Amino acid sequence: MIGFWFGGLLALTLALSAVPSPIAAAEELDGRAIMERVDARDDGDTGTSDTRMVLIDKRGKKRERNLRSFFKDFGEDTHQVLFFLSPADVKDTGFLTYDYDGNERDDDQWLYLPALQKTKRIAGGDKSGSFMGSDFTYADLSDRPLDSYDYELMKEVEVGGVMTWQVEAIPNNEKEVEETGNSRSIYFVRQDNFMVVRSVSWTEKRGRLKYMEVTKLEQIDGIWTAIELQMTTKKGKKTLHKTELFISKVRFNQELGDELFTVRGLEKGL
Amino acid sequence: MKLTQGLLTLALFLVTGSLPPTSAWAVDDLDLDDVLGGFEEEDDTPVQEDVEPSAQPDPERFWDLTGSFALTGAYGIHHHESNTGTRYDGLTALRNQLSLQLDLDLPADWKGRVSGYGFFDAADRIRGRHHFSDDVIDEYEWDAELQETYLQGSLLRNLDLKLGRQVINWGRSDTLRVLDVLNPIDNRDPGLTDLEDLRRAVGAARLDTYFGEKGNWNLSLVVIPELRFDLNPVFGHDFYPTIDLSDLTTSLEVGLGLPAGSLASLDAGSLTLADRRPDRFGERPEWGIALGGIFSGWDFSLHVARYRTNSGQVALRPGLLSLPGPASVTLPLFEAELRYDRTTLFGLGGNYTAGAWLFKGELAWLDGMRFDTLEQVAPFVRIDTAEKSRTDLMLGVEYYGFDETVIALEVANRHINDFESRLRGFPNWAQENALEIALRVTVTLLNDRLELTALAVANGEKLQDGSFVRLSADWELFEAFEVGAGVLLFQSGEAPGFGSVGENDRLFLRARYSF
Repeated sequence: MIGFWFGGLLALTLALSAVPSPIAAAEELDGRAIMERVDARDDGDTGTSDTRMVLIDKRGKKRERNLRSFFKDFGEDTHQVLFFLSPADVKDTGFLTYDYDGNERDDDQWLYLPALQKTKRIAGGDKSGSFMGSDFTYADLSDRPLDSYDYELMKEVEVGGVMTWQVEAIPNNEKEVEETGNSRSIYFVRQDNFMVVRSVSWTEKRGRLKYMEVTKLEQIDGIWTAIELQMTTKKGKKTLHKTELFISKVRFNQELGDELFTVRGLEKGL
Repeated sequence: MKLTQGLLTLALFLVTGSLPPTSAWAVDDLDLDDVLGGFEEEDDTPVQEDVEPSAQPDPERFWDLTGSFALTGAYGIHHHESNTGTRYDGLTALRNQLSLQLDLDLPADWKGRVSGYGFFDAADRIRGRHHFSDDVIDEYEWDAELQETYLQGSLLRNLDLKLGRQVINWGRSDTLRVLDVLNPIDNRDPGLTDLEDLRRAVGAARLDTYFGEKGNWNLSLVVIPELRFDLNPVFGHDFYPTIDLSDLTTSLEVGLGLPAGSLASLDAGSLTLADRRPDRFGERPEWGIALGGIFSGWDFSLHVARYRTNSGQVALRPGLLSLPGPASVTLPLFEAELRYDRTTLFGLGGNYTAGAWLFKGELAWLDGMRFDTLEQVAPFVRIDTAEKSRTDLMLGVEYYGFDETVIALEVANRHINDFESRLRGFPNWAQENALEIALRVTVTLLNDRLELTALAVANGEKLQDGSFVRLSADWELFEAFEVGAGVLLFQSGEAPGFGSVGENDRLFLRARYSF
């Protein structure tokens, strides 16, 4: 399962990375075992980053969002907060998520609306909606439970000159389909470092396909991190919309106070 | 009828916002190789110029200036007049508004803010100022106000102070406010004003302390020395309430021994309504205390406050009243005034989430509300004042399960305890139970470029006491520039403020650039 974490989308990049493990590549791994390795990587206890998000519609018209995000592990759970830096009409909007391990508890989410000076609690159960108009959904940016999927190793494929495992993931319960909006996904996991460098997902409604591709990697604080990636929504072969992420100022394992990941911290802002 | 039309339109939003496209599910036509080939396909998106990265605030700079410029126009659909005979069909507003906000990063992690707005409305100049009452010109032609202006920081690790003009957001509701009593609102343009422009900041000192293992408990104390009040439509505006004086005229005719119907022409203009607002800083400050806890899946808060009601209540005191008719005599009877009662609130509120559902509620008990009644006219006037308490309850639900759609329903009832039938008439027109329902549907389309909103608010258990429906569409034309259009539909009824609004329907257009 892709452990996409929310947190300036930094967690997204971490979810795609792992410490290289040459021994693992030589083992006979099935789909589940591969995704367990992806999920079990060391990704730091805290992280910060800036993200430039470029939204491109089918006519090529672009819009940009800039945000700064933070995440911190609290045991098995992850708390994440992000703040929009631009454009002016969304500046200072904040989003706080408590991503709970497993699927027994719905995530807690709050949205800070600076124009109203109000923090609004929102229902975190349905994550199939688009994150701020991008091609990423809230599900893409949250940690999905491994046990909610059945995995099958399909074959080995070369992607960008590197051997990958092609793994199919299908939700094994209706709740997961409803929550994520995806009925099926295929991941391409690099055999050298267990990074997911490509994925395609079938959306349950509207018959669309979502293609995710990592276009640039960098090793930061010893952790391979995707710093440029894109998500394209297609209907058949036609591109409907694309989102490009450019992630910078990535830092791991910095001292981040617990109070940053509270409603108080959300309202205080940067 | 209008409410029905509006609700049907709202239902249409709901259905169309969540329907899948009617065309074939194209993905089913592709086999796996086709799908996986999508990675290698050439991008068919036309290449446009790169967006220049947005200018980021200089980290060395301690200030940041933002704001917006907005232009709003409103058009009255039906031929109708206000109570001064001013026509309100055609252009009713053409407002330019500039809002500015200066944020400061100060030493020791303190922050400061200075914000305000100014607007000029050209509609009265285009139509001729002589058509409008002086009150309307004063209130609607231009205005400027200092909004949030404060210093904010931590005195101790878990003790925050916010000092200055600020918005204090209590409660969970978005439309029907029960606990949200500490900030007055700008209601000069009912239905047209956006929520973000509704609250008026008040000068206050607010202390917040946080405790508990996870810092999830909060105790807040706020002292509000600056008294500010709601801004409402003024005499001469088409939203100024029509006052039904039929029971007053009957009482006066009977009490004074006048023939029936002789005072039929007694109207609101005969009642000089003095606004007895307390001085802004002249008396004991308002205050409030809130204790809240945030937990996984739910939260709650308790509130206590002592404050002046934000909108005045019509009150009576002995004075002179001019009676119409052939004699046109002035008698020592009574005068009417707006009184702002000092009220005590005890309340609680909470949220609960389950899957795609959010449930919310607010309960408040308010004490200190006074209602005057005219008990006797002759041989001497006797005005009786009854002090009552009221219980307000709001229950609401929000559903996030439809794609890019949020549906929110709020139902509120305000129950006057120990109600007496005499409060139904002049000058209170009160109801024992005042039921309000608000339904809001918001749909975002085209990757958040287009937002459609439908809001319906109705009063009365059979929705018979007045309502309005607002339908609007906002389109992000380019970054930070938004245009919008919509329609406001009103239905008259007995609820306060809805007496004669059935003809006040409006079309509106707006454009806003944020910087």
